[in-house]
This record gives sequence, structure tokens and C-alpha cells, in this order.
Amino acid sequence: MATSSKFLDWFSAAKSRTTLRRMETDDNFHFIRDNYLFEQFSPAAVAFILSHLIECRYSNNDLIFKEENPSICFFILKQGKAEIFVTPSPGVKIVYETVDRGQLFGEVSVLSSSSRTANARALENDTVMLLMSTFDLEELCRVYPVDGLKLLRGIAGRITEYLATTTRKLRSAQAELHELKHKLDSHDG
Amino acid sequence: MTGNQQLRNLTIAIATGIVLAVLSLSVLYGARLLIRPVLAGLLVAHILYPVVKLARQGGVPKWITIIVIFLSMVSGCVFVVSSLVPAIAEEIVAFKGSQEGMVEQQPGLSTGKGLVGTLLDASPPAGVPEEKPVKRQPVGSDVARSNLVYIGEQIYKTLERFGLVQETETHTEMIELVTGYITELFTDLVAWLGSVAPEGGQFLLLFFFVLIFALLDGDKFYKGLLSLIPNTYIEPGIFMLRKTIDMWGYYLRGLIVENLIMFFVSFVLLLILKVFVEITFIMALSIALIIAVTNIVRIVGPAFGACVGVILVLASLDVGAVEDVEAARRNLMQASFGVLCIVAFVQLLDSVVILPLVMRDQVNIHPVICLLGIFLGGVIGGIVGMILAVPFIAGAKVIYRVLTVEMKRFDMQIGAVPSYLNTNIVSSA
Repeated sequence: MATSSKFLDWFSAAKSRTTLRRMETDDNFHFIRDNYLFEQFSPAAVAFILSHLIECRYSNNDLIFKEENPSICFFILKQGKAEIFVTPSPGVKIVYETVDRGQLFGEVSVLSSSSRTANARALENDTVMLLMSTFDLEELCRVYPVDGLKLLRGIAGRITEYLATTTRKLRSAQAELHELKHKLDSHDG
Repeated sequence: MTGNQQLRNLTIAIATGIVLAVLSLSVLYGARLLIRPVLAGLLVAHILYPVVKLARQGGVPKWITIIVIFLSMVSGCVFVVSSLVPAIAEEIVAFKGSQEGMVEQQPGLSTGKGLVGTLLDASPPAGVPEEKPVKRQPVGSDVARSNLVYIGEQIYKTLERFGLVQETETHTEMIELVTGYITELFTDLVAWLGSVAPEGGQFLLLFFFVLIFALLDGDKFYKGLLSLIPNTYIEPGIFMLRKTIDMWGYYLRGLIVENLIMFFVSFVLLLILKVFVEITFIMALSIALIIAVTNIVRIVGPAFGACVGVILVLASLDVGAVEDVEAARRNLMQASFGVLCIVAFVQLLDSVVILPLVMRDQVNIHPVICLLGIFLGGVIGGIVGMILAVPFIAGAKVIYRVLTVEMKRFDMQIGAVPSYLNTNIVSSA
């Protein structure tokens, strides 16, 4: 029994080594491996991610996704720059975030299967994105639940970060508003 | 744009569309020998790909699953070729023999004139002495036709008993003519089978080649399709492709499950029938297989399956080999009636129970579209084309449904950002 268990362990380790060796030739391997979201992933799950990632190249000013459209993919910026923005009224643009290399975006609405809450566009020529669809994310969670959980935790961490930042900004805005109101009252008085 | 210009543009667009459609059809027709196995291979690969994926998730390497699938399919082919085909061929040869016999009796039938030609030629021109039918002794291979004639006579007698028809002198000749026509059709089928046998080898070779590579590189095929989508439409593109692939896959796998259920139900019913009438095990297996396979070709398939099943039963009784011919023929009539009832029951079961259960999210195909598709499939790809027609119509229907229903959620006016967004930045969150 112990021998068979040892053999299975050895086989599993050998398989992982082979998988890693095979993946090293892939352009995106090191990029994915170095990303904080995937660094704890098993070789098999990395292989899954690599085989399911879709690479897209955008020119400057190309719209990556549009507000109100269904969310199908989340994006990892491999090269170039992008921005997330909303247009509350014609001619008005509010930029939420400028995305740099290695950053993940568009994941919030993918997780909740809702519509996009903002637009995204490329800011440079030859902006390269790695896309993973919600269909593949579901499959990842089904096939490699442990790694799927790690990815979901990473995404949840980012959402928490957003929420904390938004709360901080809201508090400071509230304080600013309160101060302004106070000033206005004292000015009126 | 003026009205005339619009009309001209519309005319040019329609003319280009027609020319392109004609060109595509002629290319399809020209390359049909190549297209049939490739399409069949891709279709089967699409159906079986989830099996490969599932096995890979369980830790089984892709190539092992593919080898298992390949060996299973080859074994299935070998089984069909070595067991079922000889059994069916034996019965069809009986028709061929009866056709040869008929040449001696009614020379017009085997001259390629068919029923109408024979009827037109029934009365010889004046001055020409009437060709006397040559009487010949019944031989074993004449069984099928004589059985058909017997059943025809029985039906005629029953109708006569109820006063629905009047006895005429020519009714026996008419029955012989009709049965002769049926046997002629089967002779053509035998000839066709003989002519396509080498083609079948090529078909299987290319089919397995495409199947293995499509199963091996399924992900690459998918990525290749995705690479055709412009980047700005990648999200709607992925959504459309995945929805289409999934819905079509459900339909195809549903079709397979539906026909497998039909095969098992018919086989069990035929085995029950075997208790009451004399039909062999291989015959029951063959008829069940024919019922299941022909059911893929909707509308016309089940009727064809029923005819083939009944004729195989009719051909199975050799009157020369039994002592009590009348009893044997009564058994034959019961068996034929039983097969017809089974086909009718299985069809009813399919419509009422199996289809709604298996294909919950059904892709309903209009019967007229189905018939047209089967006809077009037949013209382009023969019997294989007819079988492939329904799955491909379903694929087209799925694409139409995804485009007209699911894609409505997307605002497709995406592309470059309007220029005003580059200048009037109000706030940076």
C-alpha cells in the first residue's frame, strides 16, 4: 500500500515536472507564473489557464469593453496601457483607473454575471490583453477546485481593495462636504 | 442617397448574394467526396470532445482516450461489417435473385424503365407478337418477392371481403408489378452498395483521420475560430461561439441519446416479438439498428426504416425450406405486422416521451426546412449527406437563435472611442 502511494506521488511529481517543462516554451508562461493571482497554482492548473487564455492586440483608443454589455471575460494586461472609465453624460468622462502591465480588470462583473459597469479602452498602440472567459473560469473551478478557489480569493481580495479604497474616498468626500457645509453655514451666519 | 441608387445597390447585393450562393453550392458539390468525411469527422469529434475533456480532468491523457475511442469505433465497424452486413446482404441478395427471376417473367421490369415505364409498355404495339412471360420454378432466392406477393394478395383479399375493392383479373399482375418495383429499388440499393464500397474505405480513412486530429487539437480549433473574431468584438464573439457550440453540442448529444434509447427499446420489443414469431436474433438487432439510424433523418427516415425492416423480415422466410408454407407465411405476416407496430410505437414514444425528456431545450426544425435540407444533403452528399443534413440544419438554427435572441443583450456599436472622450475629462476617480 505504501509502495503504491509512493509510486503515485513519484508519478504525480514527474508529471508536474513534465508539464512545467512543456509549458516553459509558452510565451505567456512566465508572465502568468509571476502574476500574484496565479503564483500558487499547481502546474496542471497553470497548463489549463495557458491553454484557455486568449491573446488580443489593441490599437490606441480601441474600446475593449462597453458599459451595459454582458460580461464575458476578465482581462490581464500583458503589454501597453488601458483605462477604465464611464460616460455619465455625452461629452463627460470619468476615469476610474489606469491599468498597467500585469494588472487584472473586468473581473467584478464576470464574477457576478452582471453587465459591465464601466468602459475600457486601450491607451497605447500594441496593447496586448490576455482574456479568460467566464465559461473557462467555471470550468477551472470545476476541474481544479483548489486552484479555482485561490483565483477567486485573489479576485475577492481585489474587490475588497476596491471597496476599501471607495469607502476611504467616500469618507474623505463626506468630510470635505461636511467642512464645506460648515464653512458655508458660518459664512451665511 | 437617392431611391434609384438604393435600388441599384440592393439589386447588386442580391445578385452578388445569389452568385456567391451558387458558387458555394457548386464548390460544395464538386468537393463533396472530400467534404462528407471531413464534416462527419468534425461532427463526431464535436460530439465526443466532452468525453476526452472529462477523461483529461480525471487524469487520463488525451491520447489514451482517443485510442480507446478509435478502437471502440473500429470494433463497432468490424462488428457491423462482419455480423450485421452479411445478414442484411443475404436478405438483399434474395431480392437480387428475385429480380433476376423477374427478368424471366416480366422483361420490362429490369430494363430500368421502372413501374411507370413498364405500365406504359404494357400493351405491345400492333404487329409485334406479345412477349409471353416465361414460367419458371420457384427457387430459394425468389423468396422475398413471392412473400411480398403473398402479403399483397392477403391484403387484397381482406379489402375485397369488406367490399372495398372488386376482384379484377389484373390484380395479381398489379401486385406483382408493385412488388417487382420494390425489389427493383432494392436491386439498385445493392448495386449502389457495391459501387460505394471502395469509396466507403476512403471515407472511413479520412473520417478517422479528421476525427483523431480534431479530438487531439480541439482547443486549437476553438482558438483558431476565436482568432477570426475582430478584437473589438471579442466578448460578443466568445459569447456567440460558446453558446452556439454548447447548444449544438447538447442537441447532437441529445440526438445520439435519443437514437440509442430508440435502438434499445426497439431491440427489446423485437426480442419480445421473437417469442411469438420466428425472427432471428441478428435480424432483430439489424432492424433495431436500422430503426435507430434512419430516425436521424427526420420525417422520411422512420418510414424508410419501417420499409427496410419489413422487407428484411419478408425476405427472411424461405418457402422452399419449410414444409408448412401457409403456416410459415402466416408467421411472416404476423412478424411484418409486428415490426410495423414496433416502428409506430417507437415513433410515438419518441415524440411523446424521449424527445421532450432528452432535448429539454429543443431546437425545433420546421418540417419543410427539414425536408429541403435532407433533399439538398442528398444531392450534395448522398445518404451520408442526408444523415448529416439534420444536425447541420440544427447548427444553423442554433446560430440563428443565438444571433437573434442571445446577442440582443450586446450593444454591438463598439469600436474606436469617440474623439470627445479624449479631451473633456471631468474627473479622475
